[in-house]
Amino acid sequence: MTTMQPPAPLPWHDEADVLGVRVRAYFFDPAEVDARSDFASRQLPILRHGTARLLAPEGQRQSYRAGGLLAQPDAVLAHGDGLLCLAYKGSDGRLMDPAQWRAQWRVDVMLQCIASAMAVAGQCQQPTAALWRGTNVLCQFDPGVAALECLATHIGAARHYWRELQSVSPAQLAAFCEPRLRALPGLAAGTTPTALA
Amino acid sequence: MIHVQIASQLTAQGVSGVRWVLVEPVDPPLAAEQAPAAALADPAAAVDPAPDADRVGSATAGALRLGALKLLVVALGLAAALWTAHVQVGPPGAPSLAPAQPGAPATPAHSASPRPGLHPVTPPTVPPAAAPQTGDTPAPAASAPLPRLTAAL
Repeated sequence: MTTMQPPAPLPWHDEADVLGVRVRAYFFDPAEVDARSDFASRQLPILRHGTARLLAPEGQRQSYRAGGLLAQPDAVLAHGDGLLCLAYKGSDGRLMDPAQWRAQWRVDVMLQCIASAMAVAGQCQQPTAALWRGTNVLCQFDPGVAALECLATHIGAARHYWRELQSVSPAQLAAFCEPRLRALPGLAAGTTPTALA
Repeated sequence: MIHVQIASQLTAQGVSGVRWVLVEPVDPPLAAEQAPAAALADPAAAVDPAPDADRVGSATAGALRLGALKLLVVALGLAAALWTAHVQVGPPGAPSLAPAQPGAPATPAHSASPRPGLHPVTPPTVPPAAAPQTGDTPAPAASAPLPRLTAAL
């Protein structure tokens, strides 16, 4: 009789709850990782080589839509039976201190990544993980029910707020939802404010 | 409603621990406007090109109507200009526009001859009331009608 082995957990270095989102962080040496030739190994250093493959050529951004949410993530990769929605171009180049990364955290970037993953998941109808790659850190976001519902139910209101006739971008949705998430009881406690650039 | 699944766990083999939420689809009028964009993103989804063809046809008809309207405005303006010139100067080839004869007084051409529509009103010949009457012609009675001071144009 064989039993299903649970998948081995990835070696995340740290975790934190930020505004109802579980953030897992993996720190690496950018000098060593940026020298890799393979895109997935360079942008997702926590994964083994060859486990994820790009859906589109490197640097080519495709549009994904879920209802009134339209996103153009930096990269979408197929990984097993799901997808990875990765953002890596919005980094400001700053190194994050593994001991102080919570104080440097930007909530708007995190919400944008989740919104982009929602658009990818809605269009492709596959489970999608939201990832952000900074200069020396890779983060995976696991949004809780409150954060996910807040983003999903405010797409129409954000479209009206930004006076967008057709669709709203992840950045607009994140900016619209961040104060609402902070106003939810129990979520703002223990979170750090958005760091100023 | 659109089913959205966000993976909560990332493993070496794939993703696991799905969280899902429902997203409202776009309103029908907006969906109609976004049909071309959807066709660009997924050519297989573009099954009915009729709306685009209708849109192109209506645009062509609108351009034709606009062109006809422009032509009508230009024609009306030209007709008004011709009518004004006809009234004030005269028809083309009229004697008033003929070159003046040598020795003729240097008067403007338009005043050299009568023009249609601008006939000078000749004053009516008023019989000299104070002139002595000759012969047996009786003097006009006091009740005789006054001479007309107007002339028919």
